[in-house]
Amino acid sequence: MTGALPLVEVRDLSFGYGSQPVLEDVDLTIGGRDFLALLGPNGGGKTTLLKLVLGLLRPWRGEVERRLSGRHGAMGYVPQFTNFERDFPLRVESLVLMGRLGISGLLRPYRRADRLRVAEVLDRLRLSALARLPIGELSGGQLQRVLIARALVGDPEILLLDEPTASVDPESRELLGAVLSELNAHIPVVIVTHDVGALSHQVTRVAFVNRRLREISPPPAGTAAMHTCRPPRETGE
Amino acid sequence: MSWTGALELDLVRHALAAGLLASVLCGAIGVFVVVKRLTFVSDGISHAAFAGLGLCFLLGADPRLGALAAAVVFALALGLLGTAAARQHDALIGVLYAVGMALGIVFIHRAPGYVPNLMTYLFGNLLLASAGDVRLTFWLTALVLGALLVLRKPLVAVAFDEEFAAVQGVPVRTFITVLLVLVSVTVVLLIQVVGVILVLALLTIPPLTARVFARDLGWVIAISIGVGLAATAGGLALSYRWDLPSGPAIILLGAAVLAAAYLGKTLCRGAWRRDGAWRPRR
Repeated sequence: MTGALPLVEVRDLSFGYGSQPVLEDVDLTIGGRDFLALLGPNGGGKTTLLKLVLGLLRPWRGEVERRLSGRHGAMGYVPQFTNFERDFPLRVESLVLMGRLGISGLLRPYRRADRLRVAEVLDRLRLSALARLPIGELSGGQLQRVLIARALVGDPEILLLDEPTASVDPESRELLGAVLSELNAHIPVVIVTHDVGALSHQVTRVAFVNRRLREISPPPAGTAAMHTCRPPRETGE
Repeated sequence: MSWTGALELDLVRHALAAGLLASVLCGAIGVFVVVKRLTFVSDGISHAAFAGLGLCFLLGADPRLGALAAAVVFALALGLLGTAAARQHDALIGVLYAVGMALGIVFIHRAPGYVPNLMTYLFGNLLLASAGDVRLTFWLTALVLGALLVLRKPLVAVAFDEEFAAVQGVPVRTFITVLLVLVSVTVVLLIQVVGVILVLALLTIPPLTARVFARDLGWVIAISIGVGLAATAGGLALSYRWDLPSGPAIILLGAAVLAAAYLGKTLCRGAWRRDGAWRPRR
């Protein structure tokens, strides 16, 4: 991270569901060209931390400061598949177009510029041939790329991805890595993952989240060490 | 009497007009009810509407307005509470539904003077629709469809993925509440067509049928409206021809169409598979 103020600053943050604390005393700054991987067990609070950074949840204590342009869609978000129904009657291009919702205005129809941007991003993610398919017919890897496309068409100033490599075929994984490093040349990327090995040569910072956040960066020398600190894969979530 | 002769009767024309308007509405709003999994909530709205309807009977006011007011208030309350919370407490809310229903029946029973036929409200009777009912139905239909058209972008976004919509700056709670209010207006209009008990069927059968054929929200809505219109017109014709109660006739015809759609799709898919022409899922 270079001299300028960080884009996102999490200070002394605590949060929980009901009376159950999930995160305690978390401090974190994200900015510059960070590529931050959040590791940790299921239920450790990784996804919750993303949602707090996005402003979807309000912290119990502490604060999240965002130094973004304030325009809608300035935070690119790639959620897990569980956020929506896969049998929702929607074509790939319509889903991706929703990433322009904030920019185009809630009540105004989508314009030519919106559709052009969608076509561009679909092309970059090798999804052009699938644009007219209903989302229910996509493979896991294809759907993952579609969700990333939706986040990218909004021209985000920071990108947050929740388990983007969870159900992804090798081809999609490789493409994903390339696209993320391209983006990372301009904006910071935060990725929740079980599988840091897949993106090991891009990650510049690693933090372990299990109720508390412990940063273990710069990452241990070499990717071999990264594999060893990968927590066991668990079911659920 | 011939079909054309029947259409010359005010009674039949009013029934047809009110029924067709309401089915355009249920076709469109029903799609949101199905994709957003709001059937349980819609059921609650219809029961609340029934309580309001009964109360207005007791007080001598217009029962339609009572139903509309109660349904909209219930929708606003649910919107404030959040539908996720409603699903969490579904057993308790189920009790509330029954209470609404029981209250409605007690109110109507206690109403002084002429006691209307309860069956009319429980199972609907389009043939009782007056010119005034048709006018009210027209304006409410125009209102709901207009709102859907203007608010389609945020409504679809919220229906599909609430968190992403929030990140894009959509006030999610507000739009869920708007959706619930639109559903409640639709439910009140449908009570006249098929009655409190059968509202749910008319909200779900057309979109479910449409989803068998279409995989794109616009087409699902278009086909759903078509199925709603066909079921209402056909059901009314059946009811006229064989002297059946109109509400159940509409629902049974709709259900038959849905079953035929599923069956047809299954058979076609089997045939395609045998030809080897069926596209693999990836």
